[in-house]
Amino acid sequence: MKWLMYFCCAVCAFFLISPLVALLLGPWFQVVAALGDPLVVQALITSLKSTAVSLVIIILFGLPASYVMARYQFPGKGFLDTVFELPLVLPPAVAGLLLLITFGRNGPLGRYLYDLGFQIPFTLTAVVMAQIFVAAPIFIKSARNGLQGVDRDLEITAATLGDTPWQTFWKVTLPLSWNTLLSGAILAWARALAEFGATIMFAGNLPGKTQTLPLAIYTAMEKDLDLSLAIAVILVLVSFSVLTILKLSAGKGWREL
Amino acid sequence: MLRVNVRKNWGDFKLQVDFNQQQGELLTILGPSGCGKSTLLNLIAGVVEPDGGEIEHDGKLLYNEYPKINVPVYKRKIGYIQQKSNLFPHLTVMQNIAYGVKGSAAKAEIKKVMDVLGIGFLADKRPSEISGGQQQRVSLARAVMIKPRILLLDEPFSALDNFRRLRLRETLLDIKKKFQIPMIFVTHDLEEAYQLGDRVAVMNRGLFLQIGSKDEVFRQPVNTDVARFVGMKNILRGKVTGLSANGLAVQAAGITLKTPLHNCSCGQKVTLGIRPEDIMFVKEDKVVGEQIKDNIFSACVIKRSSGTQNCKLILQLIDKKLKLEMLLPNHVIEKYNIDIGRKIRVSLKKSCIAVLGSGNSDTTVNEGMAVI
Repeated sequence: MKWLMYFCCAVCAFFLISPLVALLLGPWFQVVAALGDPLVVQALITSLKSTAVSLVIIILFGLPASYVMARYQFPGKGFLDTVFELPLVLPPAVAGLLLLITFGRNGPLGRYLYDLGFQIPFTLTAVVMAQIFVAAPIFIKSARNGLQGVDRDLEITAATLGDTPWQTFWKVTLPLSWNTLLSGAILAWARALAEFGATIMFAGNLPGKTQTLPLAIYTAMEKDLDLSLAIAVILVLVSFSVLTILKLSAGKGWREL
Repeated sequence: MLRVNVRKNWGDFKLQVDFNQQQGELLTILGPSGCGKSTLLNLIAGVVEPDGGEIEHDGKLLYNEYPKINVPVYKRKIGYIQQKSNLFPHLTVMQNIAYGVKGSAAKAEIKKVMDVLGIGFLADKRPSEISGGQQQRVSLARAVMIKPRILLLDEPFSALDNFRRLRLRETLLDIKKKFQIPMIFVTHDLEEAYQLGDRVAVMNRGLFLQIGSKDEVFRQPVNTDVARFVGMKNILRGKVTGLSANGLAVQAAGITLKTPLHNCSCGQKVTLGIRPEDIMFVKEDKVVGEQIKDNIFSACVIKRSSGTQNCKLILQLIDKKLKLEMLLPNHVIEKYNIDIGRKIRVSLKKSCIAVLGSGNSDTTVNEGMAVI
């Protein structure tokens, strides 16, 4: 019985690792050369720009939102909880479509934005919005768990010792939930970087404008496989770094990082 | 001086408390779990907002109903220590103690406080590396450092073993003496309430049943509830049959007891309370002196359970239906070979009988029967 389970484990590992081995065995010279291709460079810049902005916005709004969800009780909280988790299970293509009909020229919000001179679909803003839509719930979920894990009595104690709520957050709550907040942010960023379906529906695939790395792989594959592989290598390396950082930071205080 | 007059409702639970605390006084609040003691501390600390009333310290209103004043927790300067030490796990012991004070001028003060509490050698440790008793000492040091108006303590030592608990009580009295901080100490432990308190308040179901000096509360409870909380296991219901300048004669459960004077009239129903440890054992051959010749009875031991120092006896009075609980030191039990079935003489010393207010009618007590 035990051997059978080991065997199943080996099958899983083989299936997951073989594509990576294939990538490593690939034509390295062409792959490295392709890294300089304008398509790759442009996509890399677009991806870095958009994910950086997305991450900042996610943290700026997501952190207070997760604090509210972790600490307060209010009517409709259960519903809000579902709202925050919905994008986790919603197919990204559906998310993109929904964003398009909401912010498109005839959409309920898009109509007014058009009148004000803002056109969102097929712009970098749309890329950012698609990424936020799919990635924010990951951060909120993780941050909420982290904040909930901070003993409320410690916050009360800080207050009796003279800390304002703001000071309490910086001196007690944040340091004690730092790990989960960090891993939530990293996972959300990785998800934003990997975003494909919602982006192509809502922001299109315009090189130099809305074409991110995952979209560039798709475009490049049609004419030059090496080019696709070059981008794939970048994304695989990023994924490995993300996991490594998560593993290293787990269980460490913020002063030790 | 602290003046507290607050009320708070939570569904069926109503808390309504009104008391003053003198400067430098240690007030213990004694009551069963769920009686509202912790809630009262939360109201004073500002963690929970009262529904009404006022809280004032040395002329400064911390809370007032009309016009509305509610000083936030972080501006109240009230130290709050709970059963768990609530040390910040990401900071060292030293950083924890210095948490509430700003600037380096506090260095000398921190050292003084750490010395009084005997925790100087722990400065660089993390809270997770020190024992429960040490954690509570650090927690005390941290609260003392902010020079609090009042220190609130919510069963701070009840998670500790007996040895540490007793040591920490001594330490707390040291702190009180050295730093002159008024304290409110909440506990369900009779011994603790008695040992620590300058005054004692007995609380139940959101109300103070009695507040007074500890002798008042422990010797002269106002009703049967208080009597039970302060350890009067023998509660007797009876009727006044005689009145004199020296005291009362009360008939209860078929016996007549001489009791101290109390404001009541002949024929009135009264309740008497007697502590197990106040019942005296009288040797068979002893010639009974003038002082204790009243209230001597013969009884049979029907139950015996031993503790480390004392032995609890249940006595059945000969030819009466009255049962009494009595506490005797183990060495007396051994010397006189007192065991189940033995017939002994006991004295219910007049001065140790508390005549309780007759206003409280408690239906759980059978007429004239001790509740054991």
